Amino acid sequence: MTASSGTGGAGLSRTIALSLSVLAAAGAFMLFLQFGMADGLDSMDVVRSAFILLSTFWLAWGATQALLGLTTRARPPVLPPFNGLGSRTAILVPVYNEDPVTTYSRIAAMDASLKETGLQDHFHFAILSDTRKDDIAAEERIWFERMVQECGAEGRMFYRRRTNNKGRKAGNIEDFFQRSGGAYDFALILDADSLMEGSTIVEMARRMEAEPRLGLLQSLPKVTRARARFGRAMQFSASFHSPVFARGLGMMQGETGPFWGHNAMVRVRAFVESCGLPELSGSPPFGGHIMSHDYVEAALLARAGWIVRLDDDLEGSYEEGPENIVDHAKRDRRWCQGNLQHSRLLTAPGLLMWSRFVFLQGILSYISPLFWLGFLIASILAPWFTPPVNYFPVPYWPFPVFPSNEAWKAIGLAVGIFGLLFLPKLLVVADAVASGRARGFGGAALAIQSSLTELVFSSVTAPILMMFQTRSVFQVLLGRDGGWPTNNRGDGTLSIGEAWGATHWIVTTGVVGLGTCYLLAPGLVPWLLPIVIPMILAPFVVSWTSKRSRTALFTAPLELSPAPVMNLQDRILAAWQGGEAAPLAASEHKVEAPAHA
Amino acid sequence: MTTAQSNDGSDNQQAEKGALPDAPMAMPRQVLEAPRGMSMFRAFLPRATRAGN
Repeated sequence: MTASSGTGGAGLSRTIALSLSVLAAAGAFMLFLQFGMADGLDSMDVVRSAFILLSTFWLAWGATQALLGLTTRARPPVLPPFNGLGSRTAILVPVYNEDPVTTYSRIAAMDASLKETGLQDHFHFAILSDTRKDDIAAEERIWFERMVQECGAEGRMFYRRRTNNKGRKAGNIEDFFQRSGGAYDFALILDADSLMEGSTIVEMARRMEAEPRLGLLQSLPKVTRARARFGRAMQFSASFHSPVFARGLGMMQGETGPFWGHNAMVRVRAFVESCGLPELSGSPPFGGHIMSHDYVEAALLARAGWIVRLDDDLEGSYEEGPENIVDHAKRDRRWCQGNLQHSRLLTAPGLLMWSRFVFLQGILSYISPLFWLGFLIASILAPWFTPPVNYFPVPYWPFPVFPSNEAWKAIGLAVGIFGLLFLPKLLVVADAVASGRARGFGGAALAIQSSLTELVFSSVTAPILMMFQTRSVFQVLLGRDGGWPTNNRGDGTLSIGEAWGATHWIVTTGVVGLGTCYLLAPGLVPWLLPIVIPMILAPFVVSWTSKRSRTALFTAPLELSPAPVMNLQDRILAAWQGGEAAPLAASEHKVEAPAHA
Repeated sequence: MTTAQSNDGSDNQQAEKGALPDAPMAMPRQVLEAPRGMSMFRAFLPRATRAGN
């Protein structure tokens, strides 16, 4: 976070966030305990209060990130005047069973964009293939030759395929460093769906040169090219809300920032010296290769004394996201396993305390739905544990003492929890309208409509996503390895039948849960409906949200005004798919430098 | 086709187009397993226990 990279500022932000979260959690705990004590304290009251404590802490922690993020604006660091680059950077594109034409169209677009800066000779592209399917690998080679020829990039673009894809993506990159790392000062690590403006890549190299202690510079990639309802809702949220949340998180991280695995530049020497990942003892999911290697690499760089920084003022950094709930859940299954595996690293020697906390935070993000699930189950079972009401608790006192009505405390608690859920997003809306940022989202009125619709949309999809997440956690805890599935990219429309195949267990769980609640605690049924109705309707929700979106709602700035490099990629891809040469003549791809906020 | 050393020292057949620069670097394995006696308390309260960082 360039605006607050000092460790002192980070310490203050952490203290504020932690204090507010603990305060909110303690308040919720006390309120619920008093509510439970109204009819006599029992063990279930304590259990439920404990679940409320944990859940509220987690919600408040997220809310404070947004509140912190609203207190500042993204600012670039102070840099010396730009006199060209003195470094050489490898742009690494790991691929794994991807469509080569689409992937290479992004590379060709980035190369063309770099040429516009006149500094393309400082950058080499290395396509690092871990593709397992021979037919796709053959296509990769054929299209690589064509791309090099059409881009005139002989000696600047390389392709290699590993037949032994040990260590997955981290191993793939490590293999590159072990063979060729010495030829480069920096490496820009991308995903196959990453796209970056040439001027942004140059700016990142410039910032790496300006700060010799900087080991890793992470950009904040914007989600682009979403077409489906689910994808566009996620894209809107990522464009509208995430920058504020990320800024708040960045304020707390200071110089111990994040690495999200792509769209980030590393100093080769720092990375090579600090980030050789060992295999963990034991077998997957907790042992073996480190799955979510990026968080660990950020922690290792910080352990070695390097700065890891998120510069959220950098524009021109893009990625694509899943188009439907099922693809989102598949990706999340991988991330879940990776984050839970980090429980092995909480006590790793020499890590900074914040790095340990980041691991803990990742674990909490996946197990937090279990707190709510535990609370629901405990609430359904609670009537069995409630002692009979004693109307004469005072010996020899002839008049009955009626339990006090503490229902208002439960209602107050519910209001507070909904406040923590919705208030940060509403404040982001207010800030966007006041600052003029909403103009990029189709104007203030449309941005407000989109935000409110997104709140409803996320409320409907959240129970389904939480069920997938809960299943993932249980699968990992039961020792099931999720493997390394290929990412689905492109059109992800799902029929009702396909959606049913993926969610029938959620429907069954919803029906059984509702029935059990009706039998054991009918008074709780109205509270449960917002959760179980989306669960029971999951196939329809999943299918409907996977369909192509045709509304102005969820308009994102890049839909109104695509980035120059996106236009370049569109033209190149269309030409290649139409059997023509890529339109790479200088007059056809004039690129304007992106604005750095 | 060229043959290169993989991470674990075994041969890893690699198909290459355009020769990647030959500039090897050693990437030492980092220690991540907790040392004996390391507890959550020590990990998260290093100043209080003089351990951890």
